[in-house]
Amino acid sequence: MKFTKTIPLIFCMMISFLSTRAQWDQAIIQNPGSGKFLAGIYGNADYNSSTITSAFLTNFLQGSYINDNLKQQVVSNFQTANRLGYSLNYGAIGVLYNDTINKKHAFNFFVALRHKDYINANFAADVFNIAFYGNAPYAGETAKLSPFNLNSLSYQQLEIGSVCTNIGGKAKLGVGLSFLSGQQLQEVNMSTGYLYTDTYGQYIQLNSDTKYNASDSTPGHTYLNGYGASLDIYFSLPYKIASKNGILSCSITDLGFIKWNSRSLLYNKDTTYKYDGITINNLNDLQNAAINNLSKDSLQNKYFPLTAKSFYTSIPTTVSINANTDFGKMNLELGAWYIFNSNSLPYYYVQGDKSFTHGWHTDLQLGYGGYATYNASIGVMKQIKNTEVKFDVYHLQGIIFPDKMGGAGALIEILHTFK
Amino acid sequence: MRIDKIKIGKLLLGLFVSGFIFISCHRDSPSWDTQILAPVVNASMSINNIITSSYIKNNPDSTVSLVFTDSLYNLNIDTIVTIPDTVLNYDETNILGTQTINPGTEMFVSTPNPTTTIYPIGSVELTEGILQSGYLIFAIRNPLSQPVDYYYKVLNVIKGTDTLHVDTVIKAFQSLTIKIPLNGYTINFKGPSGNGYNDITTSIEVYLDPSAIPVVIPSGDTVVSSKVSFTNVIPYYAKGYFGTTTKSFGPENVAFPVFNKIVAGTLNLQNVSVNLILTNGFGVDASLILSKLTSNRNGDTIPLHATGVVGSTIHVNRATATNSPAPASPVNPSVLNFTINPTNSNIINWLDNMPTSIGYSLQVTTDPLGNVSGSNDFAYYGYGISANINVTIPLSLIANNLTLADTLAVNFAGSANTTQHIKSGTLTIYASNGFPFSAGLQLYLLNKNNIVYDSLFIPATQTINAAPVNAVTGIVTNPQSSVLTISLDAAHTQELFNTKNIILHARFNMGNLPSTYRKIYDYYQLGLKLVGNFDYQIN
Repeated sequence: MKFTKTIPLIFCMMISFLSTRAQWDQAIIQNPGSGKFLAGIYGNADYNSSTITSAFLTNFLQGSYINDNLKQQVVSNFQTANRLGYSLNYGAIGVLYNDTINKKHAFNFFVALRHKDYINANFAADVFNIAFYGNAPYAGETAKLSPFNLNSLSYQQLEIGSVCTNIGGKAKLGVGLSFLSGQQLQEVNMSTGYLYTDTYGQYIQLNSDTKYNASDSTPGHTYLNGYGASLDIYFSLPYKIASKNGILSCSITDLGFIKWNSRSLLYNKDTTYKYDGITINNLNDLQNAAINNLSKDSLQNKYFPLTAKSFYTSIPTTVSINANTDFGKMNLELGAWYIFNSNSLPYYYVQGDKSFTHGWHTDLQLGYGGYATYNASIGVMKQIKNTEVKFDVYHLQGIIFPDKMGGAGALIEILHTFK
Repeated sequence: MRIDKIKIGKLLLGLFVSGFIFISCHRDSPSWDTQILAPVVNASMSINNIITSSYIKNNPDSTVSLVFTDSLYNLNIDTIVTIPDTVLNYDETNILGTQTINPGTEMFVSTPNPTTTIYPIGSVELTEGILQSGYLIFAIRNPLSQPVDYYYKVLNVIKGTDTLHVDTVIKAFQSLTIKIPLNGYTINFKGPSGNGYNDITTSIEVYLDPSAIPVVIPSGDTVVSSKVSFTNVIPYYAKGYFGTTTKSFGPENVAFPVFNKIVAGTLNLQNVSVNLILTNGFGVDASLILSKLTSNRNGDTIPLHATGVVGSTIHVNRATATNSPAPASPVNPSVLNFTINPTNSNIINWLDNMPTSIGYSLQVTTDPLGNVSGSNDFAYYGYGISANINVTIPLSLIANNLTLADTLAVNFAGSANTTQHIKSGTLTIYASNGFPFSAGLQLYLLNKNNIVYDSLFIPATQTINAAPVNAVTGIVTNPQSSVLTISLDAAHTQELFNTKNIILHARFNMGNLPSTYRKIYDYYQLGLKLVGNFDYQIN
């Protein structure tokens, strides 16, 4: 499963993503002045959750036994709505710095090739309880499974764009257009879901209003299952407050869609399912009374018949805004972003940037929102001649307190400019 | 501190190597314990579904009977008309001194030609016949150095317009065997006079082939060597006088599988009805003596006492010919039907023994009065003398610890992968019993060799209670609910879910008024719901 294979990268590579990737890469926007061309690679991965602790997820991914203590740590984090999100984003960028200091030429051009994975969910506490404790504790009770939303999306992106660095003086405007190759999609949206377990277990009843979309996952069709396009827009404007200079930036990233091919699967039904065991007509039918028939395709076909059909989906779109003010010895940035179609809350943050000698640069960010509540992140950057190496670690709360909080992430980026 | 490119490269390499090692360690899937409470099986079964027997019959008044029909014995045509294998030898030796035989010259001919002989059929005197099967085998050896022509005919054996014959050339010093199937041939056994019986008329002529060159045969040398065999001849139709013969059958046992699944307890039946049907499809008078008819179970043998049936001579008239073309029956059989019931026999005790087999001894005499038909006895293949027994047992009974055992193929888990995850738990049976009997259950688990290796004991105190009945009508008023619980430790859980065959013992007893016969109706239902509450490890 992709989820289990990619999430460990969070812990292994210590890569982070969300707070920085919500914005345009500064290398595209800002001509460092050290060269005509820039080429870079980056990779970031991020896991964050309001509920699922880092310890729980680590054990899950390591294939360990998940004991009651781990489960209880998650239970203690339950809220009305519980969120988790994971993303993996890596790729390469190239920039042609065509603008000049005197702004005789004001346009820079860039190209990027990226791979993006998103898995995120919004779930009720009972979903976790049913999955990890079973339905027996709910005998005679109704487990509330909704609202439940799960998105799992993978796609590749080829982007070309341009940034005008001289709009009305010092404002900047960037536009990027992308061709998208849809690889994998699974979307579950259960707007209504109640699971009732009879007091004596004589029947189980599921009331469900569920929509399910999935790309073709049959062997041989696991890479190119759809195509689409997206648009990135960036705009920044300098400002001055109390003699302090600053830049107000806003951006829209990944405003687009993917059309999935005709082998894609849909399910959309508002119905009630009642299961009262495998019906046998006589004692000789006992050989058909297999428990694991409950998970067989036949059961899925009976209760969740899927239709093969092409459809469109929106990709997670990020809207961000921030104001970065130069206080001389350090910069202070206030910002917020929100990702549509991602089960995320709006994220608000404050970040301090401090530059040191020998090309060192650090930052510390404190935030609220996203897939967790409180977040803390640190970053360090080293400029070595024409090479810039950036390394950020995010969601420190989940790393420092893995038994209580969930989150970990990191980013690594290497950029090099050429004359 | 100054970090150069080499140090950064080493740092990145270290991170990637660490990551690779970390990922490489992820061999297992995570696991955790859950508790699953879910229905496994539900069933609503009538008596037909519970006993799953083809002997269950629903009656128009919704009562249910066990009906068993089987044949005790069958006498076919070949038991009264036996045509033995017969061999006719045709050999000729030169006793006339050295001779020269020219091409086309006759070497041997039957004398007289044709020759009529009596076919050895014993006391049976046949005048006509049609053959069902059998072969004529003509084996020839040519001892000469030139080809020889053989012409063999059986003049009174005809199929359509063709006489049974063999015309063949046999090469020098060769042997030849020709096999001709006899099915469909008609035989007139009356001979050339038209008044004989069992007669067979043949002709054989042997010539030196016209294409041969003259042959010199020394004195004493064999000239002709041939053998004609009639083998495995079974008639489809035979006519004549079959003779007064007596044949004995038995003592023999025939299976009576109605009570096979009962392994213990007692059964009191309120009423039974047995019909013994004797059918004579032969055009021959017959008398029968059924000297015994026993109910056998586990060494207990109860003879049937039925006046006029067992131990008496029973005369069965001959069948009459319908002269109807196929596929209509060629005979109109004579049928005798003897009803055996509690008033004229001990049939109740006989069946309360719950026999697993029926023993019998029988003596059949054909033509007991001699040739009263003027040699017009006849018989057709497939239409003989048979004795059939028809047992009808209305299910109105008293059961006392009546225990049924049934071996059932099961597949609770479907795959070993599933069972490994079930750690322990409880199986609960929720029963809604619409029958006027209580039932105690016991499960025995069989290994792959179908040997019992473990059992799941359900305490005797846990039974499926009998439904209450109306005191006047004896009909169940409403189903009775019961709950049976089977606690399973990890070992028993594994065994239960791994087994592919179980033996289910169901012990039945009466409800209230245990000495009153209770009828079973086809609308009575036993509702069962099997619910599992398992500690299940997801992996």
